[in-house]
Amino acid sequence: MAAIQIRGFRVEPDEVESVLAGHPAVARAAVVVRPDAPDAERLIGYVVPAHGADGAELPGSVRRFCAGRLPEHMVPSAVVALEALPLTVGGELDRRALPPPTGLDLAEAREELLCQVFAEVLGLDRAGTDGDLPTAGVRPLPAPAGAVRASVVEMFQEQARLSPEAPAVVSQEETISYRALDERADRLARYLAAQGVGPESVVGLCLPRGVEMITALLAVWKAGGAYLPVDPALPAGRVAFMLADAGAVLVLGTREVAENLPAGRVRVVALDDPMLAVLTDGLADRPLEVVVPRGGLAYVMYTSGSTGRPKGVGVTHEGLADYVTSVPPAVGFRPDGEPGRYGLLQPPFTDLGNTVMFSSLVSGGELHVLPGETVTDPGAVAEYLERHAIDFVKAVPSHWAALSAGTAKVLPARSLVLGGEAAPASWLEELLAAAEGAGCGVFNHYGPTEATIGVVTTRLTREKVTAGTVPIGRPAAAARVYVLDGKLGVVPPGVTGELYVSGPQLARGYVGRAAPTAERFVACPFEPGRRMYRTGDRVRWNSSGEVVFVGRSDDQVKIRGFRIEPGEVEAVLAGHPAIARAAVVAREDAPGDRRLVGYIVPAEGPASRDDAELALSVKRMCAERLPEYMVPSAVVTLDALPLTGNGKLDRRALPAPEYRVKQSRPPANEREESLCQVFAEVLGLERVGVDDDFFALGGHSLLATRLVSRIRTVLGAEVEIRAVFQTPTVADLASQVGDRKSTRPALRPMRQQEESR
Amino acid sequence: MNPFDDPDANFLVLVNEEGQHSLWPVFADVPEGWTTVFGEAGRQECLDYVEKNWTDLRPKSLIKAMEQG
Repeated sequence: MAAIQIRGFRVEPDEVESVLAGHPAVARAAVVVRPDAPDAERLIGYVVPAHGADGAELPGSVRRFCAGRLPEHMVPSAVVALEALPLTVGGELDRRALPPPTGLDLAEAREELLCQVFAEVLGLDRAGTDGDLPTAGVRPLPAPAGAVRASVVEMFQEQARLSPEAPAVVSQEETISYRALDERADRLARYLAAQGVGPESVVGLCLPRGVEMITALLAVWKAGGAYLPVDPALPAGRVAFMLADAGAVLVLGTREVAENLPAGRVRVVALDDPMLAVLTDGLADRPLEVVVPRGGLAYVMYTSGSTGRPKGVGVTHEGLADYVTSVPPAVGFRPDGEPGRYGLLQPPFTDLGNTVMFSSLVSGGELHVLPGETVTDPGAVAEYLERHAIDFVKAVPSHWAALSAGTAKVLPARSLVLGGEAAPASWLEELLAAAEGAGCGVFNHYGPTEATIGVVTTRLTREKVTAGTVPIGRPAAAARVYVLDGKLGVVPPGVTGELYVSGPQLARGYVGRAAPTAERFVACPFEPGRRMYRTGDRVRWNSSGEVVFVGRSDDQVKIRGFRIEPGEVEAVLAGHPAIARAAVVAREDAPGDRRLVGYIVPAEGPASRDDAELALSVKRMCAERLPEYMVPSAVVTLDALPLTGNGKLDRRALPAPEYRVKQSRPPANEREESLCQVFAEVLGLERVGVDDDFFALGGHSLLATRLVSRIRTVLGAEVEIRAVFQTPTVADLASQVGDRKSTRPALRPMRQQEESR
Repeated sequence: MNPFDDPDANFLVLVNEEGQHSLWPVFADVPEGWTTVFGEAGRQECLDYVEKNWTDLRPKSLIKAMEQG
């Protein structure tokens, strides 16, 4: 059905229909437009109750269901429950045969409207909260019929029964079938259970990406426990903090990891220890009989904390099960119902990759875990996707942009899901043009870790992004979102407010931290007794009923998809004995290149200090305590932090960092000259000398990826990303470019290398 | 500023049937299904109360299910 205008807003009846059909007690749904007054039209929804559903309760429930998922102008004026939808002889919906809504059908909707009128007249923030007025808020959703749904690990086990010989995980080292993965995880689960792991136990997983990691997390779930992913590349102190804070009872790692982990109270079991193999080989490969309640803890994921220490988000089996049942179809996975091939680009230390990982494992998909070094190498990624005919990929926009900078667009066959940060509209236009030509859907997917991976999705089109704004979408089936003002009232479409999320995907809270939980997971005024999570994201509804991201209500920033609280980095800087004050901001001095910059005010006056030396020691200290992505790219020394009139940090007055280019000889030949230009372009500098170190000038792993892309485009030459890390100057790279033929190198086994530097 | 972040405002501490605690600004009506257990008081006082009194973050229904299971 064509789009219509209702009260000046564009409405797609088909979209409203799909929301109606998503109600758990609705079997079929239709939406029609009926004339309301000579100059106005309104939407009427028709629903057929699912078998056993209460038809009398359904219309109200459906309208409230819509109110949590659609902007107010798209909520049907009335919902009519019918035994069946009238069909034409041809089997299509016979719209003319639909009965018009009765006065009673419209009454409740009118009451809600009246509340709003009262509220406006009386100057109240919200109506429906006084006893005399009918309540206009959204009521709790009825539990879906037969609400007992399996956990993700149960869905995986079922899949292992259905397609035992299908490849479940393909990594550089091995390919493992569903049956073998299931059995291996069962044996490890029995071992874990014997070590005392059970419901609510937290097990650290300090493993590189690959089959072992996936086996380990399935085993933890089979034993009833929750996993805590720990990046082996993190500073030892941070690892020790996370393990202690989450109360981990055990760590599964490798022998190498076991050596490097801080000695502490937590026991480390190395999965590559031959003794462990001896122990587990004798164990049965049948599932344990552990029953994990739906609200049980599934994993703990650490995110940056503004007060200086990271917070562990406790995600439940219920939230994860709801995610994997509701989101994959909304991001273009398995459009034909057939299992496909998924490419996993992210390590499992954030929840970004969970979209792909769990969607694949519960549906018989073939999960390809790309090696750590491959995922930052444009040529290698393009080749991998093509050679293995990968259907579905999820990526952080800045990462994907770096992979395809200037060359033919790198795309999976069917769906590319973007998440982790806002995608720039100008870049999306290019990407969408290429994707539409290639038949690949591009989806935006938004959601905080606190609401289990993601809650809002949309298929992006060129029409959607031409206005310069990029919608993040509307809630997938299991989630509800509210855009509220400073008085916790619902804002009308077009007005910016703060985004709140409710529904079963909400995490339990921050592990072991009651107060931070109580200030972010707050009482929901629209669903009695339920909580909503306040995201801190400022958003608005657009005229087609999708949420558009506007900015943050606090200082939180995203760098390369990683969520960072500058306050946490500032706390580390301020701990340096030579620093009196510190501030940390994300700057985008060159378009598309967002970097963390630290500003420090030394304790001593300028006469007695060496600023360059201090900046270096500060960066070193950050690297010892923080993950790589939280280490400032540049540290700027100031005599004082600029303040606004009311004494707050004046972020806009902070100077851009200056990257000092060395004195070096002029380029010796054309190749060096071109490379100097590409270096300068990628780093956002006017010029770069032949002896300048790419990383000393603010380069980071993602920029190295861009550099490789640009060298290919400009010089027609192939440089491996590893070469940039090993010899990061123009002079050294130029000699290698000259040695290489400009054909793509074959993929070869490479050691795991997480985003180094 | 988000109303939950205002350091100078007064707040309540609410609890629902699952024993989950929520900070709540005094200007807004207490949502259905929640009971005030502390306040009104300053923000930090409320958070201190939560820290002291909400010692098991598991919802009550889960605690019960685990005890039976």
